[in-house]
Amino acid sequence: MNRATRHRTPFSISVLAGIAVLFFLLPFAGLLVRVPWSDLVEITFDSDVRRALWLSLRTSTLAAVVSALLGIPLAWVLARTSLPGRSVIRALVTLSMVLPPVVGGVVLLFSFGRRGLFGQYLDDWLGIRLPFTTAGVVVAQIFVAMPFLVLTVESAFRQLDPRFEDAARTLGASPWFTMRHVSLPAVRSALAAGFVLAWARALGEFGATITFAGNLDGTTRTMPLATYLALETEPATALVLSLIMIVVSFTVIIGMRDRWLDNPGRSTS
Amino acid sequence: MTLETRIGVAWPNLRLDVDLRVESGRTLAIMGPNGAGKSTALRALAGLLALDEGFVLVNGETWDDPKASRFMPARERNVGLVFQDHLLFDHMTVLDNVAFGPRARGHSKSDARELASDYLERLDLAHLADSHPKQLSGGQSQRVALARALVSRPDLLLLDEPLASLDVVTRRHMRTEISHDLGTARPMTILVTHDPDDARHLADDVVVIEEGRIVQRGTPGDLAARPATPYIAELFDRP
Repeated sequence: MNRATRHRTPFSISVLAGIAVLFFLLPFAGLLVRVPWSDLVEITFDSDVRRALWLSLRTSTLAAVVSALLGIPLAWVLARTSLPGRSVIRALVTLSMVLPPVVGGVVLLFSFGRRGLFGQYLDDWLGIRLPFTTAGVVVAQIFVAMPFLVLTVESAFRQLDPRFEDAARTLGASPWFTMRHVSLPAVRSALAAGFVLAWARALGEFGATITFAGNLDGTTRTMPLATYLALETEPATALVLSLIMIVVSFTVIIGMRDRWLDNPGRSTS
Repeated sequence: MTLETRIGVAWPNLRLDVDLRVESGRTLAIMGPNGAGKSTALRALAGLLALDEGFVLVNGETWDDPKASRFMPARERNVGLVFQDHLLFDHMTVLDNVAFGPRARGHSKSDARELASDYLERLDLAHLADSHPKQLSGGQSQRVALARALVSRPDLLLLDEPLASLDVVTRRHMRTEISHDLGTARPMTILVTHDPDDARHLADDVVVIEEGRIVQRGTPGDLAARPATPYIAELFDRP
């Protein structure tokens, strides 16, 4: 490295950056100090905790998968077509990302709730009820998580030179073949990043879930809900639940990072 | 085989209107300043851009004719298009890049790879088969891009400034390589270039486009001897 590219960091910048690091580090230190390590195993294998953990993993993974199935096509449409109203759609997607989750829960309740605008037909015609069901948890999670995937993948599609797709077309590829063998592999890092972001957001979902799906043990009580509930009565359990979520999230992010995120040039075929 | 075309494309500030004719085994070079419409003409021939006026007729088959509402999309045209910056698919090996066309056109994965493998061998590129595009030099990338375009035996080969991104020495060397790669049974070829040496070494005929119109046609020798415009005179004014 030559001297021109290696700047000396101003002292004040170092101090402020250091404070930022501490701000992220200290809460975790505080948690780790207070975790009841001697009861850790017992609490972890407590059936309430296990149920909440299992429910959270199932719902957030399903939410991330559905977000990918619907979100990748939407990202493509936003990035590559001249569909009228694209900016309105993008604003709508962004809105549900920045909206307070509890408001998300309220709008879901008044649209897909049992007396909601569409919910009553879901119930009358199809017998589907979302509030107070696990499906409702997944719907709430998708609502808040999909925007992360859509915006991440859309930005990657935008950065992909459309001439790669032109090249594929001149080589005889159909639009679907081009999508599957050229466009999607080219943005695979963004797909992985978007999937992890959506999954993490779904895992942490609280406000929309409790508002729309309620707080039923084993059905809609996910890890964040269980943690909040435990905080009032059994702080030790809340600490263990938090620790489990930290470990799970951290493991996934590290795993994805090694495999995908930092290796945009690496082959996967 | 013959390509006859009149390419009429309306731009916001300029209209492209050129007529071209190429026969199998011959290479036509299109030259002209930046923004003259050279690359647009290639995109229209490849089917990446629909004509506003004119026609593309290949061996009696109409590829594009706005008057008859006929437009054959790129993937149905048997063309090979090679870009200046190669545009190899980074996530595939060289072999899979070359196998892409046959696979897209319905060959099984193993058949396509076999075709690609044979072709790479013919071009003395077999040693690169397992490499990734990022590991190749500029000249190697360009030859792989050419192999990818040629493996499906296109009727029409379109080369969009294929040597422009290479350094002068590699470029000189690559002209020989490309001539060799194209072989004797070469398809109808259209070469867009800025470099009169490309035209001299690779093309049988040249057309020069300025501001969307053809200003001169002839052999490279004709143009050098009797340039019709100051631009052409300057272009060929080299010892």
